Amino acid sequence: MAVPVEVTVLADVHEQPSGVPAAVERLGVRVVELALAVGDYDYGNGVLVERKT
Amino acid sequence: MKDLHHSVAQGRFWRQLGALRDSCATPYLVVEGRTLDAGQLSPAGVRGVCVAVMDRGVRLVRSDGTADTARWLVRIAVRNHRDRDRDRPAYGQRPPASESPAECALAAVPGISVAGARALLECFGSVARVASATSQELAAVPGIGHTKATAIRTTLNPSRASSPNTKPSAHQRSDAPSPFP
Repeated sequence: MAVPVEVTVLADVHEQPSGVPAAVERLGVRVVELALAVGDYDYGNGVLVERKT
Repeated sequence: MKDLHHSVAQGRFWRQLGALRDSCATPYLVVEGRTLDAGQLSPAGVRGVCVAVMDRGVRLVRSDGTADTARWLVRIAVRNHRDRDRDRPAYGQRPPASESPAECALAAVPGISVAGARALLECFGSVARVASATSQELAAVPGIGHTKATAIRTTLNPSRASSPNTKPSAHQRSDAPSPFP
């Protein structure tokens, strides 16, 4: 299923070394890296994701 | 999985989870790793943490690695994008299965179908009388039973649902006509 071109997710800067933000971008979602106060990924609209490894 | 185990053991995890819950309407926790058991918590302990996370209303996603996590994150992104312009959740997009407002009102109770709503209205005559019925009276309606009766009372009449069910059943009252066929 195609990803809508305007889909963007904010990723915490600390996630960059994991390779997940880059993998997300390869799947067609734009990723903007920022220092997030809460969570590792912020979709707007009240959706936050915390990633634990 | 060491990060999860370590943050729980150090007491940071529940603070982080609390902040996540307080900051958004739809919190997710992605638990990434080939096995849950790679860390200092016991197998029962780490699974207990996962259950407690879900009990707190956080959606838990299991991922086996970064590529899997990326796929989950993309699906969440696409779904979130689609839901942006909706004024109700996805499951609320179905057209009503009934034209009757009373049937629709009762069918909005979790577990009650349009057929169940119809059966309730045939027995009680109105939503108001369904709302004031006892659990025993509701459970006696064909296709309802005790679980759905509790759901009806909890949804339509929450103040009474938690109080003792002391109203005598219509079956037990000799002076009242039974609403049941």
